[in-house]
Amino acid sequence: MNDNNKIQGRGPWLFLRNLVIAALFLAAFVYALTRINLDLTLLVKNFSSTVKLWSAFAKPDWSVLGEGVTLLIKTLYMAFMATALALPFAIVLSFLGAKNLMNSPIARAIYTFVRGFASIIRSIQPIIWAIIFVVWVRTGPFPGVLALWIHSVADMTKLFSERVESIDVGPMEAIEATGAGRTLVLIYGVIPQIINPYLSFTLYRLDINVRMATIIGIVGGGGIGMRLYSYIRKWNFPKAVVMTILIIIMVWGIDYLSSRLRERIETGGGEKTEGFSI
Amino acid sequence: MKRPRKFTLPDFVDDVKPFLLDWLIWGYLAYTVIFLLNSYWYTQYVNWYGTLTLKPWGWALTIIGTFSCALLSEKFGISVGLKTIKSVERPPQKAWALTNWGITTLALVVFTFWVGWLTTDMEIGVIARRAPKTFHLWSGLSHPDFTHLINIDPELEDTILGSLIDTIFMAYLATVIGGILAAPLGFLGARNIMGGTWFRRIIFYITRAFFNVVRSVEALLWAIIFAIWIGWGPAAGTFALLIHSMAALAKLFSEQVESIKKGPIEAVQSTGASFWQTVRYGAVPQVVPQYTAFLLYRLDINVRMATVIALVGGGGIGRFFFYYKSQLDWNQVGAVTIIIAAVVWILDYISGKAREKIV
Repeated sequence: MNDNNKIQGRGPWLFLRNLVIAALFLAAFVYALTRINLDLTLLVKNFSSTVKLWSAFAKPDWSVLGEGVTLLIKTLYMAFMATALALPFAIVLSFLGAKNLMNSPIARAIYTFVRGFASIIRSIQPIIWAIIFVVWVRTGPFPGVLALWIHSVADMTKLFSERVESIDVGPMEAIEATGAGRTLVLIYGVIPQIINPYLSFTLYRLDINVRMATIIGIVGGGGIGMRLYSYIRKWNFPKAVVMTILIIIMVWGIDYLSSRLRERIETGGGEKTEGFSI
Repeated sequence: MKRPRKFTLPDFVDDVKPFLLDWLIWGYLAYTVIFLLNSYWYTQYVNWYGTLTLKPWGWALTIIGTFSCALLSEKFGISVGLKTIKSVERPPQKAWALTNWGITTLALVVFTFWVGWLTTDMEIGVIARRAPKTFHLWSGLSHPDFTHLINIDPELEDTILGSLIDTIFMAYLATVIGGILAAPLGFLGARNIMGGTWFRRIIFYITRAFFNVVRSVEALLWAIIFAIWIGWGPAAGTFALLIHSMAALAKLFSEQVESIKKGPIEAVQSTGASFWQTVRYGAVPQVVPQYTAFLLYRLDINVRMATVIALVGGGGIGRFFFYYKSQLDWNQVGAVTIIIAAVVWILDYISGKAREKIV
């Protein structure tokens, strides 16, 4: 094989390079261990401080179940609203942020602006956005939705436009050749190629938003996390455990459904191909 | 060669699952209808302070009604459950939104959006009305105060730069240790490797359940537990990121193992290799590049998480962010935000480029 020859050709240097990289990683690891002071024995030594927590798992206080389920539904709606509201924005921005569609100098400027902004917004965690929006519109599920929304818009814009950038130009050129304008090229040449990946990314983002919605309440973003955190702060573990169990069930369920649907979308509704087994 | 008997679930489970999902969907539709009735009719015209509750016979009616709707939906081809869990062919030349199940899905989305708008107290006007309240925030962000970047802040006894390095090393440690622990777990959680005998099957289910449960609890919640356990500080944050990474990587990894190709496995098996030899020489070489890419991706996620894990006592740069925010020192908050954004951006870029090279 060609690749193999190339590697064999500079064998000693490659080996040396790999050795240096490995040594650097190892040195960083050792340094990090001492810097962070990661001490596994502490987990054993301080186990007594968590006894109250673990024993709460044995006898959860199910009296808050009704309240918990209501909050759980609210959390799910928060994630749904954030995703649903982000989708139209992300779709429009994804075309403006795709390098292959934005050719003229003005379009290139718009492209740079959209992608730059998306990167900056995406780099700031939804939790931090939630803090900003809590200042802005006060505590409750609304700032939580807004925080998840703005992060989702940026994240989906990035994923979507990368997808648009990797489309096949064949169908686009074929439609251009018939004398169609830009809009028609977009509708018949681009959209059929991206609709399934877009759906799949949206479901993936919904999954992430559900996870994030469970913790965004810690900073006042509403949902089940807010109540969970207040129980923990009051040292009321039996109630906190019920909330945690509910979170686990919801996140697990949504994760399962989302990955199942994505698999279905990516394989075009067909059966999954049979793998091997040992 | 002797192949162990393959364990499969009984057939009827596959028929029941779509039906249960349909029942859930119809039950949910009933819930949305009652919710909307409550907010638009009951609280408006009957009892402002009350909530519409069902009479006992109403519950029975709902259960029977949704049950029969679920039964009927399969008959009339509007079953979303069948579409989701089993495959239903789409009639040719028809957009999915016009198929029967497509209409049901759209109805679900519309109702969810409507109810969601009401439950999450959406009030777009507030954004404009309270915009002046955020003035100090934006002015802080545009006039960042970098004094404590390299000068020690006496309150926090650290510099922003120092805690930034802490943050990156926390993510690094969590990824490396989590990745090492995840590798064997990933094999134990792969259906194709553990699907053979009953004993292996049980290990498979326990492993899968374990990492699904661990993964479902966000790293931030784990940080609360570890902060109680070993006290506040970067170590607690690292443990939280570590355990969450381990579970998440093990899941990705086991899926990767499940999708490996038959050829090399059969080639190794044909030499008369044992189970472990087959895993070592047939499966491992197929998953290593992809696994490295997962590790890089996870490092990226961990850096993001590490920037906020201080919220619950996990240490790192977030300590400065939340402290300055509590002091309403927006200029310093602006500085920390800019540094967080820059670092996450750079690492995202590097990790993306490195992943492109590997895969």
